[in-house]
Amino acid sequence: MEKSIFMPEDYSKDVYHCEYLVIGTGAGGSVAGTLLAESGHDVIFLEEGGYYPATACNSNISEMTAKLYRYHGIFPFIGSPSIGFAEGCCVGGGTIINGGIISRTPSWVFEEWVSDHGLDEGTILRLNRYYEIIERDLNVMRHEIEKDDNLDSMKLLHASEQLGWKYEFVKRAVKECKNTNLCPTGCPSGAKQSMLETYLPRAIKNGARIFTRCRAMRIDYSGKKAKKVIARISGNKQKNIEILCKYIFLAGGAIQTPHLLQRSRISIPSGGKFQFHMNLKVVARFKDRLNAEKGTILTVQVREFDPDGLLIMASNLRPHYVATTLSHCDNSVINSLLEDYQYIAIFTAMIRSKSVACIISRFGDQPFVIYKFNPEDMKMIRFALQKMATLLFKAGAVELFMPIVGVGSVRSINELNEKLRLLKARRLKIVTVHIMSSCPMGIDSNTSVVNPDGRLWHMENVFVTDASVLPTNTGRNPQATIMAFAHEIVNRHLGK
Amino acid sequence: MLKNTLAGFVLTNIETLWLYKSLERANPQAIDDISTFVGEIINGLPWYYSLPSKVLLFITGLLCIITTGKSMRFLSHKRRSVFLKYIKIIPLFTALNELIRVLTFLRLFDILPADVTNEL
Repeated sequence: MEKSIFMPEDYSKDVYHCEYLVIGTGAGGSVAGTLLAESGHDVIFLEEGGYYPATACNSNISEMTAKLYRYHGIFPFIGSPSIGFAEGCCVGGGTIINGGIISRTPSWVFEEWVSDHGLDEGTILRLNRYYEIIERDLNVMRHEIEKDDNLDSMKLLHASEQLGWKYEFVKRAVKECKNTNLCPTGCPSGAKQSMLETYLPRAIKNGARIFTRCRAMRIDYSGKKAKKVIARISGNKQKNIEILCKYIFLAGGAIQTPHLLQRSRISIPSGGKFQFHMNLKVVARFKDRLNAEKGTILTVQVREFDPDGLLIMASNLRPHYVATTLSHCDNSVINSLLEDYQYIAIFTAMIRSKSVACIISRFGDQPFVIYKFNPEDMKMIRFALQKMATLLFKAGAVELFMPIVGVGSVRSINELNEKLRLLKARRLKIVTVHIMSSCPMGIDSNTSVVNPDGRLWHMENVFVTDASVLPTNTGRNPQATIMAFAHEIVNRHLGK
Repeated sequence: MLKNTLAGFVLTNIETLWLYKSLERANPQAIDDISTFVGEIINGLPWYYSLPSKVLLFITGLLCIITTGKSMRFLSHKRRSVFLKYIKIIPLFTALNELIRVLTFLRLFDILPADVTNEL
């Protein structure tokens, strides 16, 4: 019986053939390849990272970060300030390292996509239908309130109720969650319904093959037709292989997909720039014991400012994350907070930012990313930190440690406002985990990279089914939307 | 020299943490463990990040030997702090230290003995 999952030592041939080549096994790629395989087509998945099922995941954060993330989770966007991007690079992609949060793109963003990017209403209707299929496929559920766990999320809930702010119990793709709080480093119990637990087994059952540790280096084409992909196998014995195929579905993510196209000299005039969400992390000290490490990842999102592009939620707590979040502070701060470990929690403000990043593919194999900080984002950041502080002080926090170099801690809103008055962008500590719209879908080939079918405008047989095709950032966790677009693109291709 | 310079950076970033004393007692190889981890990550970065990082480490190490007669790792905490205070003027030094600091923290808590992590 032919192998389904290829490790570096399994590549005995130099040339492989398939009908559909799907590059990337994250949210978009897994959906695309699975639907194609279930329709009876011969599919090969190419995945740059390694294969780590639940049994291979453990609580050693540095070890798992090395295995599951690109560059150990420290891919920098150069700018002022520089931003750290934590990108999954393994079979299952970002769905292995995310919190499994399933959110639908809000209606006001869909309206933007229709009015500014030409997406038709029919597409939006179908995306909404696909959300239902996805939520069923991933066993999506709202997390139940835990009596003694997730007290950090409960703090947000109670404070929101007191302030009259909207909040929601998030929907997550989980089955019998064991509350290990290890979502960012791979769920060791298999409870998180990542692509490895859901779509990819279906694809394998229908004959799909997954080539792991296999990085696509170049697409060879003639005229408007792609012919084959040259890929490099990493590991002890590096070698190149060729995969000849009829169709290519690109799903390497919003950086790697345009990077591959640019390296292959496939022109994407409107591509190569992307949008992202900015995450600001605040460490809060409370008088009450929270034991925030107990319980699963965040369960409550404060959505009062959702239309403004701001979400507030609790974040994973581990001593590693306390120290890395506060790496801009003196060790005396870290010492103090580790002594009060049971009384602290980390909270994140996620902003739908206006800053735009650019991928430069001239420096060799790996992309270089620079971005320009949009001054509008500064207003939003101030707003986010003020709202976060209002909420956390209401929740009973006695001290907040801000993601701002040189600020130290604040103990009141007035103190924060005073420190925000002279805030400069270069002093901010920002991270991101959501990037999108580098190959946006649209109806005009001058302003978009893929047409409404998800096909590259100037290529007959190359499609994109990852976060790149989203016309803009969404302000919400994007996994479900990426999957919905993949459903739409594949179904249109198959004529369904 | 690069290894000792990296170890010097690692030490600087953790020797004032209260956890470090417990770690040092339980695991005398801890600094080498963390330095190896950080070094492997720097080596694995794209060349336009790893090459400048290694050049900066080399320059820092060389300057340390020239000005103090010793590798960064073997300086006392006080002398190392003074040296690093002046070395900050080198362009991109702060970025390099931040990178090493974050990676050091990531590894530190995974090699702490169980009785220390239980104290948290």
